[in-house]
Amino acid sequence: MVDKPEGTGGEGGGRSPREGGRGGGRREGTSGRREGGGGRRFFRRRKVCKFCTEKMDHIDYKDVKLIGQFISERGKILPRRVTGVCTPHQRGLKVAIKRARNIALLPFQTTL
Amino acid sequence: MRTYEVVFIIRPDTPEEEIDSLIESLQQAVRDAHGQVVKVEKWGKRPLAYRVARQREGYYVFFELQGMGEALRELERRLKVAEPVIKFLGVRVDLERKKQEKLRHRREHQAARRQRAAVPQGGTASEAQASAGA
Repeated sequence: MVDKPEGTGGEGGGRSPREGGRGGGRREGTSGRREGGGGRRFFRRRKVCKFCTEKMDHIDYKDVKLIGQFISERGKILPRRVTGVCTPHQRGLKVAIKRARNIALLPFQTTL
Repeated sequence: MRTYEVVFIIRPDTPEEEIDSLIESLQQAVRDAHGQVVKVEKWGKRPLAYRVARQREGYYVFFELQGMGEALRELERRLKVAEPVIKFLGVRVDLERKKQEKLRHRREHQAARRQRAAVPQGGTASEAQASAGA
């Protein structure tokens, strides 16, 4: 999918030697979307921010059902790299989780 | 004028009438401090995420009040001394709500503009109005 047919790549002459050196006939269209090295990798769906797709500006600390999805089994706040939440929303989420913890809606820590 | 949200937890073994009278007295306290309680919600008994005052569940009550800091201060002071209240949280919400409103407005504006741009020049006046209203 990432590969484009010859001629539409748009950077035909400007290929870096490193890129040309591996992969044989395989050629990526734009270097920015190159898959990680090591040949065939399983396809990972791109994570999108749940709050952006639902157009939520504010994350309410009272909505335990929603916020509870973003904490780990131990009660930790999940990192963005796991959940795919964008930076501004992660910030709001952090505040909401901390407030919810304060009034015992969410745990600070749970023992397994 | 500011808007605050206050959530507090009452011991679960408190009789219902006592909870009602406590809520009433707290509302009166807010009124005396030149504030007004615009919303009262009794969430009822829910399990606590961790133990508070040796309790595993609590009776949640939610207040939304309007007033200046003194109203909140007075309410929080009362909550602190009230015997059956085991935990409370007061949050100022008006600034965030304003920001939210602004963002929503901007989004609507942009959506309308995008729609107008999508409709070519040939669009009739009624069409443009319909898209602006959407």
